[in-house]
Amino acid sequence: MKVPYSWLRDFINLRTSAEEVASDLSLSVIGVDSVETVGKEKVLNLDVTYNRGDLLSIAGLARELSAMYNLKYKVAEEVFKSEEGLKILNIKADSRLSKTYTLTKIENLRYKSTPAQIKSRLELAGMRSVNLWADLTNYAMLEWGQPLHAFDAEKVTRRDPTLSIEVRLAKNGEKIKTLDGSERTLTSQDMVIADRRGAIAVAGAMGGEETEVDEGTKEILLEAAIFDPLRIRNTARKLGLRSEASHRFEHYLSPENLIISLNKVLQMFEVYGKGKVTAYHLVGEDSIKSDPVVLRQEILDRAAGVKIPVSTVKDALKLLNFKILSSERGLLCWPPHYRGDIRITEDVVEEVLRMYGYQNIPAQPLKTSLAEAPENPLEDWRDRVTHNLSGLGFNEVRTYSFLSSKALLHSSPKELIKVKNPISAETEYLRPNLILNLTEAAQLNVNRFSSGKIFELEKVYPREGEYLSLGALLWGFKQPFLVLKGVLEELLEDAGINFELRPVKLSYLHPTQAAQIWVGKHNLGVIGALHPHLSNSYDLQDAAVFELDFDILSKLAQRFPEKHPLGKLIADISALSNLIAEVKIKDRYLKEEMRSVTLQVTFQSLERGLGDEDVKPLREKINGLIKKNHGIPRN
Amino acid sequence: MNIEDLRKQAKEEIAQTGTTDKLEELHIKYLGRKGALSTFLAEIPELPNQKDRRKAGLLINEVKNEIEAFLQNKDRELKTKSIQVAASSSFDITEPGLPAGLGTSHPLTQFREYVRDTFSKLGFEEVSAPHMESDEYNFALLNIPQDHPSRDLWDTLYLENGQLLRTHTSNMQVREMEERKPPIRVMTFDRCFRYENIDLKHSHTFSQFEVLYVDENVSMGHLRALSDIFLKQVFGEKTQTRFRPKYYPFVEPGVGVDALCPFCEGRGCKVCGMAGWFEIAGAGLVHPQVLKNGGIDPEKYSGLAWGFGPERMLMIKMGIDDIRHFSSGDLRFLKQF
Repeated sequence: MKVPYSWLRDFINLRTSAEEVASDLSLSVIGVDSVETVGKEKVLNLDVTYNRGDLLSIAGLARELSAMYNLKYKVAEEVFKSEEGLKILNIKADSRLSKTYTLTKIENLRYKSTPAQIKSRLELAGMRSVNLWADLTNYAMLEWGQPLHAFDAEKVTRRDPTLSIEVRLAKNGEKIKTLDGSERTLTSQDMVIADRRGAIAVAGAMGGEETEVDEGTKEILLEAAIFDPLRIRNTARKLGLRSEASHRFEHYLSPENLIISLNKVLQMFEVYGKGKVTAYHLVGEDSIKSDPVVLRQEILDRAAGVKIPVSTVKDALKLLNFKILSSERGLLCWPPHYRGDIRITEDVVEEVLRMYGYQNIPAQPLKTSLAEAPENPLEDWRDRVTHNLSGLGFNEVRTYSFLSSKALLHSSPKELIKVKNPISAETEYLRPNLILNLTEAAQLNVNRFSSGKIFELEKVYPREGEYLSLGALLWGFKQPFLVLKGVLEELLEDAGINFELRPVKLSYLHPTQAAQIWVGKHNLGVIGALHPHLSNSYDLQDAAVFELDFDILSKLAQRFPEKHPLGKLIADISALSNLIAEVKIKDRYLKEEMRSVTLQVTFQSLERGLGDEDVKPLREKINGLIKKNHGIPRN
Repeated sequence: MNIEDLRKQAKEEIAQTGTTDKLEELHIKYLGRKGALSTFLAEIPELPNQKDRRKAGLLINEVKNEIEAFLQNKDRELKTKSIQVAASSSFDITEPGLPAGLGTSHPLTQFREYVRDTFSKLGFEEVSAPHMESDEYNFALLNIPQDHPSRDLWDTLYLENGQLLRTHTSNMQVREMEERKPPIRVMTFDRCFRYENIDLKHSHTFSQFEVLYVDENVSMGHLRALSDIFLKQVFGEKTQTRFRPKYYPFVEPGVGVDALCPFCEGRGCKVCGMAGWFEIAGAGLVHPQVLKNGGIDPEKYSGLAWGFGPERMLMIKMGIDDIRHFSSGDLRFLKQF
């Protein structure tokens, strides 16, 4: 919201510059995006969050500043009092649609142009001047936060002499021509203000053209209401009618503030338009009675991590216009009517803490008792594999989780997960694998790097569900399949995984240089040279790629592959006799719980030829050692 | 050739040799199993009488010993010479080395490890949550009901399968609370998505780091400690932190965490846009309703959530001016890390 600084001074005597106020506001109230200089004026640009709808008004901000600086709030907030002799209007409003609905009839209006100050403040706040009547309602809305709408009462009476106004849901297909000249078709989700002939306004969003106020207007029917915020929001979005008014209607509005605002705007109609109130009617609540929020000191202290004196708490809340009362249950707190966001203890805690000053809350070290931290093989292997690949000369890339429109040409969209509201054609489908994204990344580099090695370790999103995938691609190498297979072998060797390759036909891999990677019963992924149709399309020469299911890899991987007890066994066998020249692992594989290892033992003597009589006793001793290490020898 | 010629020839050849490799060849040529001397040795049995055989044997042996001595001397000479050559050589050690071909991990990956190291020392365990998420875990259970205006804070990409692409890593909060009992100390560093057009500072795909800590008596003081420890580590000891009120529906109180600009120490400079401070992290005490949604009694326990955008932090720290570099796949960028 744009706040002309001088407007705030109508409410409180600020002693500091606009910039300082902006800085103080952002430290204890709300974000200020910028302070603009417009001519002689400073304009604060507030980033008002949903919870603080009360700050969408000059008065609301002034209330907050008065608490923050402990400065006097100069403006009397008087409520509108219906005088004797006022006529009553005929209004029907469902309380689920509008908890408070008021109409006030003003007669004998005399038009003149909008006073310069009002005009200039409207413009500084980002609104344009329309005509005196609309300007007055907008001015009052900016100042007090309550949106108002003026109907030309004579135009309404011409339509419906009984002047019966109703707040109701639109009929499906009901039409209305709005102020901007567009014909709108409504549904039963939208709210309208209607007379007996039909809709005269889309509630909270925009008035109808037929009842518009203009320079010739002599009588006004002024609406001040609180509507169901969600309906306003949905209608305004759907019809593209988001405005300063609908924005405020989406937030919390209080009936008390409505009646104060009404009083202020009626005074303005009297001063600037010489109008006289002749009728008034309110349907619904004129105030909200609520239970107090109980603030328990221990909850406050727990949140602060430090004891905050009771007197400080009380002072802070009083400055913020809370009514407070000490009780056995704790401090009873009634927030001011305009603070609809204060509902639970923690809300009050926040108020106290920001007034106390977050800078006064000391750092409190975390307790040293550690939570249990079980091993996390996925994350451990993620690090190790990343390091191994970069050690092998690969550069890690991170591509988008989507398939580009070009990659889409090489995929079958039916097998992909589709985004319902894509930003562009480049974000329409989630990637089912990494291969196409890696190919695309490689193509970007191919003009500058005649060869390269890249990898990515991120999620992929096939229809069966997302998982972490590892993809690696290299280009510009002779015999790319074998070069990449070497990488695969060393990576998996490091993880203690034995695999076998089985030929496979896949659309993006070479017709003959392509294989699935199998580890026991698990299909770990694929490896292959890039299919010629891809290498042609992406200008990649001599390229190969692999992609592995990293969830599976991290489950199969062994952190200290076969050092215990196999390492010890090998050492023991080597130490048996000087006739044993070498012991090495020839083959190994994992099957369920069992690990099968083939050991090759070389017997050798430098002095003489060896016979069965030398080897046989050693063989027995070796079998003995295997049994001792809980193995089953199979010669 | 008679044996005297052989002796002479060997002597000459050895004398002329300049390398140890060549010397090894001569060793084989003369003394090897099929070398020149072995031919003479093979002829011995063919000599008619014992005396000649003996004489020839002695002679051959003498020549063999002599050639061996030549070879050894020459070997010694060459080795000595090579040391002298090395000592008198000149070399420009400042010349750049030849490339060894080490690859790189992505700056975000390196940062992830760095962040994780810090927080794992503080007892946080790494977790992950789905990217394709239900409305419940991403929004509703975090106090952001359907159609609620506060949803405007998150421009969301929805999927045709009824799920959405998570807009923040906070979808892990209720999931972790459901799985665990306090004390809960978890962290996550992962990818999120928003309906956002790409420009210098924004992207539809970005990362978040987030910690969740639920225990007895968790306070804003703990939040301050976490902020201090981490931001000082990233931006240096001189960095200060400060909190500002900030609204997130799933925390109460909610704060924005600022770090004092490390470049100008708060005086205001180009990097911080003259502000002197960077808005760097978002945090707060977990809303009691969110604790309840996770099956945790808010009377007994309190919690904090603290998180930041790694890309933005890295951009500030490393002077990277365009968020698109991170996902560009451009090796000129990636090879710098």
